[in-house]
Amino acid sequence: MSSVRYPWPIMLSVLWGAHIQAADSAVKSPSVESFSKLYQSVKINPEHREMALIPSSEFSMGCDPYRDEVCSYVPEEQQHKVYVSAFKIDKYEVTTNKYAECVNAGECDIPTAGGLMHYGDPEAGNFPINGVSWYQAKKYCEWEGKRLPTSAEWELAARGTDGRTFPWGDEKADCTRAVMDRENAGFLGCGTGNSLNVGSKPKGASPYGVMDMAGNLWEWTSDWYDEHYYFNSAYDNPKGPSHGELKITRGGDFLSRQSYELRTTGRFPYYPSNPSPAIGFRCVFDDVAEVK
Amino acid sequence: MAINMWIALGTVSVAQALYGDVQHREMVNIPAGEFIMGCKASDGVYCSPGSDVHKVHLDAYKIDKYLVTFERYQACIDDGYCTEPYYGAACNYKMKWSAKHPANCITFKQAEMICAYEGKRLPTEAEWAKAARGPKANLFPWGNAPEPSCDRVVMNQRVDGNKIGPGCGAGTTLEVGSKVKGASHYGVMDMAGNVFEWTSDWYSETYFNKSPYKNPKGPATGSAKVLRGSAWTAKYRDGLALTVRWPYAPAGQGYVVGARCAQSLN
Repeated sequence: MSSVRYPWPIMLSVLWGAHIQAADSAVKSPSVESFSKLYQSVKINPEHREMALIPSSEFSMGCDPYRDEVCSYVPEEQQHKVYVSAFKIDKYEVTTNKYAECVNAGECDIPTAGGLMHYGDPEAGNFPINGVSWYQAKKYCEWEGKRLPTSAEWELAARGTDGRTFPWGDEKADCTRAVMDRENAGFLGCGTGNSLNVGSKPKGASPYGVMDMAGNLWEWTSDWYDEHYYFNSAYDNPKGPSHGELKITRGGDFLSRQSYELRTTGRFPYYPSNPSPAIGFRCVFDDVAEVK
Repeated sequence: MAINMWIALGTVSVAQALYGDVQHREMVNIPAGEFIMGCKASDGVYCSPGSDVHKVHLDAYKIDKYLVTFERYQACIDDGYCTEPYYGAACNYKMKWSAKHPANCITFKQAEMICAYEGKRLPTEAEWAKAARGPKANLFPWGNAPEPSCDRVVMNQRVDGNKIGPGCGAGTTLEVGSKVKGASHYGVMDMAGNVFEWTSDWYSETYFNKSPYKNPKGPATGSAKVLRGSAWTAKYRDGLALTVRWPYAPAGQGYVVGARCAQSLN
């Protein structure tokens, strides 16, 4: 697989200030400087650095046909047992402010911005960062001394071991528990037209207290996607196929209209170098003893 | 089997036979001639990489007046020629209101297939640019002023008391051709806003420094295709100008990515 990353820093302008509205006013090109000014004294909510411990567990990964009527439509979510060793996972999706820290440190690329990709938007500091390619997400996690979760780790952190369909249980998803749209559209981000601050739906927490595992943004995982993988997956800490074209993203987004799109077993394959307003990420850490 | 037979007979569509004419397939003629392509600082918008100003001559061609709709796309699926687009989340396939909305969440291959099915092809980046910007190289389909707004573009703006901005309050795309005042010089609709459009060119940031004057077709190879246009998510003029170009890998299937087809005249 090519690991092409698009360097273009600041696609599609952002200049989120209003100064580009007047037709006759001079328009400056968006620049690295305009972003670094916005983020120069970025303040991170300390909560947003918290991680949750996920103990070593065996669990049934995939769709449970006795609990979820959607399973017959998604045979590729074939239920199978896996064992996942203990790890810690970010309690929150990586925020725009946190990502900006890494940019400030000179380690991370500026994400793609514009439209609903909100890097550079002063109101989006505590939104989950979006517009990041898989490569950019991976780089951020490595900068923090962490890594992207495997798809199996992600699913365990989202639903625990009791076979529930959603992070909170089996009740259908709606805006009391998840940042999403509604059935016929027109209500994306629970009526805000955007993603929301991370952790804004505490009732939607997973059994381990992990937030936004349903809705807000899809999240990159380290696994390649193969629709046949669940039929011959490894039992012990599966890491996905050895190669592929698309990476697995998990968890649904603020544009999801149907409850079933936010099932913890759902997977959305996406091309790793393509940015999206709907995809962000969180990181995991292996050395359980060292993380507080 | 019946479906294969229809293809063998060369008919356009089972759906057409069963349900009547599929709309929005009409094309407009773009006359042969020279035009100016690219973006410069004095244009007053952010210039995407690889858009140096240069002259291009194109032979006459036709381009779809409208973006490919789900109705058009469905006819192709029904004939067994096109594969289903992604659905879920902001992908509008299978939404009961989306028949006349632009097909989104389609890969490059799917965009090529729907065009081929209609006896057309994807436009080159140069063809897209000329059809959008007209002989005066407009920044927006209607000219350089007024500024983009929901009067002319399906974009991200709170209007008429709407609670949300994306899609002029719809939170998604709108029907193709719904912004009549946003037509281009040649009468092409939705060249700004609604959804981005696949072109047949591979993406390069240097190609147009040295591209052929006549009918440039982009670099021979690459890892991403060029998207042109803009989408219902864009708020600002920089993101809606007709000079915007994006790299997007052909396997991508974004919420904001659709297609329009072109055809050579010969």
